[in-house]
Amino acid sequence: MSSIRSLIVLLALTGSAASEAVGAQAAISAAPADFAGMWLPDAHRAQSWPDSLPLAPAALKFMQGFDPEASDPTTFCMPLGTPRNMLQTAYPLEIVQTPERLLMIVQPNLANAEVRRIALDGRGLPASPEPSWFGTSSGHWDGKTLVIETVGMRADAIVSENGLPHSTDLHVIEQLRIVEDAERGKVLIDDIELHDPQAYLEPIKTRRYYSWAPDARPADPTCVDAMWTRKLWLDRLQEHAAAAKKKGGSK
Amino acid sequence: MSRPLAMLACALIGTGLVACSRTTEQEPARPDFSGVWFPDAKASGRWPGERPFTPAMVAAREEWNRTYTPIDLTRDDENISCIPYTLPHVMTTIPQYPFEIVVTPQRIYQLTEVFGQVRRIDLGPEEHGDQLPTRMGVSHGHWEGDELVVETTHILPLYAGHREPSSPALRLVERFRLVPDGPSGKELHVAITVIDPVVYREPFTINMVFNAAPPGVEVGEYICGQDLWDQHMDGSTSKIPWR
Repeated sequence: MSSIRSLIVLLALTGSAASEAVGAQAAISAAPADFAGMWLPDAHRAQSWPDSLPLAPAALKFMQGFDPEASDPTTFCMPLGTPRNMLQTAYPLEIVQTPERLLMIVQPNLANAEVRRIALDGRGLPASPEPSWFGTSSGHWDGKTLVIETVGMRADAIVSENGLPHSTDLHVIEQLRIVEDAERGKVLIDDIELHDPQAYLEPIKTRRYYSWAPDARPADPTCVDAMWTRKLWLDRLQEHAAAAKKKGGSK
Repeated sequence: MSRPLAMLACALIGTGLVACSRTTEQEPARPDFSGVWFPDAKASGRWPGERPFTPAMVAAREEWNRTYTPIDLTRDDENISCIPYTLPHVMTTIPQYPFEIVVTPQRIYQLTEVFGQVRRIDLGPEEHGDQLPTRMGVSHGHWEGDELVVETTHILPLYAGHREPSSPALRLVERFRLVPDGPSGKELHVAITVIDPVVYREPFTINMVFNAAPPGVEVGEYICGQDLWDQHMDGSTSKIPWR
């Protein structure tokens, strides 16, 4: 099979007028799986957290005292961050695939669209990644499954809306694969493992399902728009009204 | 690829071993816009200082000025409030930030560092359907020789750049062209024609130049409002406008 695939790639790449687009397509086709396109999270099949999470004392204390108004970054239009952007079930996931990289795009808030860039060139993970919201990712193929490892996530990001925390040592391992479901058609499955000895006594595992939705388009979310509208229109109009009243009263 | 070779490849693909792209029987090689690009402030054009406003737009600007001036730029600037750009400002604003172009056979992606915005240019057949307007609108590209011609509609008429909104009739025609040996080396030239008969009496064109980033430069993670979140986490919430 691999030799036939190589032949096809060779055929696609030879010829004086070979198109780069054809070459790219052939290379993607030659990849063990093609994830490119729009996927909708299946909220009904999302695995719930177990009743008792294996939390270290500090993580347990943080979660018990968690106040979303004060400590959930999304309250302040900050990103979900990785892996929360994969665990959420409200926004579509768009995957862009090239031979060298996989991009995963989630748009919960247009001012901070979340783009995960997953290197597929075998570069591995950095020893001391700079903490970021989306982390530093590297992927490798295990048959038709793409194994994605991510490190370097900011500790002020949380994993879930009920305040499951993580430390900067968080190491996320995902196994991404496509299955053909008799009822649902093409389904993307993401098995997610969270390894963080500082926060968890043992790795936490969960799974998310996504339905193939080639015609879906992400919307413009409204997180900052609401604040801006209030500031631009309501607050300013109130100021103008107050100024007009004062002017009228001074006459 | 020669036609017989393409047909042979497609026949093999037809066995189900791999997917056959509808782009397999292809036109000639196209310029590859993929990579990281920086706006060239010196070489790029600007919005015309005297724009050809329609009478309706002149009246609307006067009304806006009566209602909202004087402008306080410490609070009345969209970008300070993390409101991202709409088209065509995504292309014509010259920040210090780069953007990245990722080319796939069906779609070209433009990923901006500032605001982390994502623009999509579809290369397939035009299927607008019932699209709601968005900041990036709906873009379709087709090739005319070595130029990628991109037409965009359905742009959200929200952004008051230059203190003037666009209308729902706004249409952009952009011509993307690769210049391998420009004055700054490899350059991407984009001629942007702005067509909005509600706002402007006639179309005008802005010529933008983007320089290829040196090898190894990547688009970074830009989070608008990060400083305010950091202040909040430090306990200095009084500095945060909305708290």
